[in-house]
Amino acid sequence: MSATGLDPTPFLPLSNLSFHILLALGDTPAHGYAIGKEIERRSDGRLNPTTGGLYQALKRLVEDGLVEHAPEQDSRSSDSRRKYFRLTALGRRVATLEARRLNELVSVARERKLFGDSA
Amino acid sequence: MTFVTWLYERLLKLYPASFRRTYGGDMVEMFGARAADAWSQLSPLGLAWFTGRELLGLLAGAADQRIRGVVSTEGRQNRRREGIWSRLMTGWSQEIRHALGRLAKNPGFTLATVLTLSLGIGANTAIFSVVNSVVLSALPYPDSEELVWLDHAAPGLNPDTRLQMTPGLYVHYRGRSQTLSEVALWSDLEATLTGHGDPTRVTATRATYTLGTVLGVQPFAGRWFTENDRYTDGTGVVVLSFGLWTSHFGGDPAVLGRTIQLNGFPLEVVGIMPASFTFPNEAMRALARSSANTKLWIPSVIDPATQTLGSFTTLGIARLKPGVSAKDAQRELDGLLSLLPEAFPGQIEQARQILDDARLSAIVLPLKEHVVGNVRQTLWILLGTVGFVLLIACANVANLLLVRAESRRHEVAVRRALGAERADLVRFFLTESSLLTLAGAGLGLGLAYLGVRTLVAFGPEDLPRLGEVSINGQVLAFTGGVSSVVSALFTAIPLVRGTHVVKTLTDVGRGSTAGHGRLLVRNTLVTTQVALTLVLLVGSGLMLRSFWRLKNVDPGFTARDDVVTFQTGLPQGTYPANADAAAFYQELIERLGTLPGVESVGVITCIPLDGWCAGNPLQVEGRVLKPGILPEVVAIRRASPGYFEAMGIPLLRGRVLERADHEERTGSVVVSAALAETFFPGEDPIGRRVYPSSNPVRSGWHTIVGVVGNVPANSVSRPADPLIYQAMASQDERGISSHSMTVLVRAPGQGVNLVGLIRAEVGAMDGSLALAHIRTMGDVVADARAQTAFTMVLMGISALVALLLGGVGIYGVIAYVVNLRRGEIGIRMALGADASTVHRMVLRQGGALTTIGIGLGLSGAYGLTRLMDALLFDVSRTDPITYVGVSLLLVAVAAVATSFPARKAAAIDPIEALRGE
Repeated sequence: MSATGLDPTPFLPLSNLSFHILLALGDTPAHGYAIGKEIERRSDGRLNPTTGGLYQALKRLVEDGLVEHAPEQDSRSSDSRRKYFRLTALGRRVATLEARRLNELVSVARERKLFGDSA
Repeated sequence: MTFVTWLYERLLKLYPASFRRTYGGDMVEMFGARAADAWSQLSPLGLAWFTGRELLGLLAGAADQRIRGVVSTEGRQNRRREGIWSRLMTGWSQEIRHALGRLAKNPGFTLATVLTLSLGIGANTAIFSVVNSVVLSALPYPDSEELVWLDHAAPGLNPDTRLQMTPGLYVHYRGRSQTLSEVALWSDLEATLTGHGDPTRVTATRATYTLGTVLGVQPFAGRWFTENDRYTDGTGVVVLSFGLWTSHFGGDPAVLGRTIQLNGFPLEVVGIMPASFTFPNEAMRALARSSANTKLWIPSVIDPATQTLGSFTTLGIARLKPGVSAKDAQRELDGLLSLLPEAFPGQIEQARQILDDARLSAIVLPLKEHVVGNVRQTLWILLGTVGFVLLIACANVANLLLVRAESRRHEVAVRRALGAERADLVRFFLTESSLLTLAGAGLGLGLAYLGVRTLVAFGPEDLPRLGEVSINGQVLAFTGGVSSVVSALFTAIPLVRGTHVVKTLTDVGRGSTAGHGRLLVRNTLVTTQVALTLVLLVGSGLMLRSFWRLKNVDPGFTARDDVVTFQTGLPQGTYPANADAAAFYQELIERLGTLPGVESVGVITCIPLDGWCAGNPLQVEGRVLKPGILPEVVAIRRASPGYFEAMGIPLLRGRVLERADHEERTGSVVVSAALAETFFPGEDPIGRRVYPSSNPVRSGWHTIVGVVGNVPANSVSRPADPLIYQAMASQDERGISSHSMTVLVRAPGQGVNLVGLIRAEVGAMDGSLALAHIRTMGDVVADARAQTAFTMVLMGISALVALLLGGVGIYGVIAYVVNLRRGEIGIRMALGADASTVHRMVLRQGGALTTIGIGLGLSGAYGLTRLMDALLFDVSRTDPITYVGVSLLLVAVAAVATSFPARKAAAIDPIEALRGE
C-alpha cells in the first residue's frame, strides 16, 4: 500500500497535540522525550502532554500511518529499546494541509477584524 | 529508581500487552527523565502536581487503550465507517481526556470540590461500615438467623426485670418444645489457671454440652463436650480457646489429653476451638458487663432429676427449627410455662409463685436483635447525621458547579447551536462530574479507612461487634452507590441551567436578570444548607447537654483515679467456706493498709456500675405477703469492713459493717437509702430484720445496722438501685459466695503506682492467685459513659464540619450577590450612600437567608430529634437552651461569613463599578 496514494483529508482537522507532534517531527526523527521537549518549547509551555498522553497520540499516529517507527538513529546509544519516530509521506501531506487550513482560518479572522485594531 | 518511577512501571501493567511491549520501556524512561527535570526545577507543590498529572495521564491512557481494544482492533482509518457504538466509546475516552484537561486547568475549583466531596463521602463510608458490620451483617455462626436469646419477663416482680433462664426451665423446654431444635445454658465465671507458668486469671464460660449443637461450630482439634462430661468432684474436662492455646500452651497439639489446674481442680483438655470462634462474643459479654474474652469452656452438667425451678442465674440461647419464627417459639414457650406445676410436682408451690405472683412470661428474641438492639438506633442516627453532612457538602459543590456552569453557559449554548445532541452534553458534564466524584470517593475511602481504624481503636468497649468492623465489598458498593447518585445530581445542574440555547445566546452581556433567576436556586441551596446545619447542631447540642448532665450526676461514690480496683478469686479447694475466704480477705485488707499512702482498703463482690450481679426479692420480718404479690427485688452484695470508706459511700444512719460481723457471723446487714425508702417509708429501718429470698426463711433473719448512700448498679443515669450489703460470711451459707472479690485500695496521689506493691502482697499471701481487671474507679465511670461520649463526639464532629461547610456556602452566595450587584452598589454609592450603609445592606441580605434557614431548621430539628429521645439523659428534646444557643452560634458564623463580602462591597469604587457596567 502506497502511503502517498491515500487521501489525507479524512484526518483533518488534526487535534492540537497531533499537529504539534507532526511539527516536532518535521525535520529529523526523534524519540518521545525529545518530542515532548520540542512541543513544550514551540508552544511556550502552553502545551505539555503527559508521558501517557504523548505515547497514546504517537501510537494513534503510527496506526493511522502519519508517523512510523524509524530504524535506530543513534548508534552510540547503548539502549536498543529506545524507539524513534519519523514522519511518513502521508503525515507530511496531512501536516501541510492542516497548516494551510489553519492559515485560511486566520486570514478569515483577520478580515473580520477578530484580532482587534492592530490587524 | 525512585518510588514514583516504580509505581509508574507497575501502573503501566494496566495497558494492553501489545502497547506495553512497544512503548512501555520508552515511557518509563521518559517519565524518569521528566521526573528528574521536575525534581531539579520545581517546588514540592509543583512536584506533586507533576506527579499527579502524569499518573492521571497514564490511567486515562490505559482506559482509552482498553476501550479501543474492546471496540475495535482496526486502525483509525476505519473510524468513519465504524458503528455508533464504537463512536460513542471513542467519544468517551476522548471526553475523559478533555474533562481531565479542563479540571487540571482549574486546580482551585477541582481541589475544593474533591475535598468537600471526600469529607462527605468519607464520613458516610466510615459510619456505614460500622452500621454494616454491627447491625446489618450476620453473627459469625452458621445459619445464625436461627439463633435466639431466651429470656423471661416477670411483671409481677418488677416491670423492668429480665430473669433470663434457670436449669429447671432448660430441662422443661428441651423436653417439650417443638419449635426449638436445641437449647443451651451458659454463665461466665472468673477462674485462676495454674500449673503452666504464672498463675493467670481467666474468664471461663460454663456451658451445657448442647451449646456445641446450638452454635454449630466444630472444634479446631479434639472434641466439644458430650452429655457424659463432668466438672465436679474435683475432676472434669475443658475445651480451650485458640487464643489461650497459642499464648499459654505455645500452640502445642500435645496439650490434648493433658491436665490443667483451674481454681485448683484438675481438668483434662479435650478440645481446642478455632481462632474465629468467640462465644459468648464481645457483644453478649458487654450485656453481661464483663470485658474479658472467654479463654476456656467447661461443662455445666444439668441433671433433669434434681433440677429446681428457681435460681434465675444462667443465660440461655437456642436454635429455632428451620422455618420457625422467634414469635412462634415465644408463643409455644408461654404455653409450656403453664405446664410447670405438672412438670415439677415436687415444687408445686414454687411453680405457682412463678406463674401467679411473678407472672413469668417467655421472651424469645433473635440473637442479633438482642446483641445490637440498644445500639442500632444510635448507629442509624449517626448514619443519618453524616448523611446530612453529605447533603450539605453536595449543596456546596452544587454552588461551585453553578458558578462554573454559568461561566460555561455560553459554551454549552454554542455547542448546542452547532448541533451537539443533548446526549453529547450529558456526556460532557457527566464525564466531568463523574471524575470529580470518583476522585472525591477515592479520597473519601482513604479518609473512611483511617476513620474506621480510629473508631475501632477508640470506640467504647460496650459497643457490640466493634472488632468486626471493616471496609468490605458491601461498604464499597454503598460508597459506589452514593457517589453515583451524587454525580448524576451534579450532571443535572449545568444541564438544567444551561441548555436554553436562544435565551442564553441573546442574553450576552445582560447578566443581571438571568443572574437573579440563578440566584433563586442558589438562595434555596444555601437556605437548605443552613437548615440542615441547624438540625445537626441541635442534635449534637442535645447530646452535649446530656453528656454534661451525665457527667455532673453525683454517682454516690469516689469516681476518681485515687481508688484502684482489681479482681481476684480464691480456689474453693483451698478455701472451702465463705468464712475461710473472709479470713483471707481480712488479712489482705490489713496488709494492703500498711502500704505507703493508703487511706483505706475494702473488698466487695460487685462494684458499682458492674451490673446487677445478684438479686432476690426482699422479705421483711413481720410482714405477711399478700397473695399474688412478691416484694421488690433488691441487689445483694457481700462487703468487707472498710469498703464504704474506700469507695467513698457516705454512712447516713447507724454503722457500717465491722470485722466482728463476718468473724462472728452476726447476720448484720447494711442497706442503701433507696432500699430504706422503698421498704420502710417514714420508718426507722435500723434494727428491722430482713431476708433476701422468696423462699420461706429457714434460718437467721438479717438485722439492718446501717443505711448508706445510693450507688448505681448498672448505669449512672439510674443512681438509686436498692442494695443490701451482707458481711463476707454469715450463718447461712446459701446465697452468694465470697471467693471472687473486687478489692479497692484508696490511696490519694498514688493510684496505679501501687499495683506492683499490691501484687507483691497478694503473692506473699498465696502464690497461686492472679490479679485481673486492674483499673481505677475513674476508669469505671468513664467506661460507663463511653457510649454517650462516643455518640456525642461523632455528632459533634459532624456538626462542626456542617457548620464549616455552611459558613463557606453562605460566604459563596453573598460574595456572588455582591459581584452581581456591583453596578447597582456603584450607583447607590455615587448617589451618596456611604460605605457603612452598603456594608449593612449586604449583612442584611446574609441575615435574611440565615434567618429563613434557621426557621426551617428549627422546625426540622423539632421533628427529627424525636428519634433521639432514647439517647438523651435528663434533657428534653425541645430543650430551649440548646435551640437558642445553636441558633445564635449559627447566626454568629453566618455574620462572619457575610462580613467578608460585605467589606468588599463597602470598598467598591463607584467609578470602577459603573465603568464595568
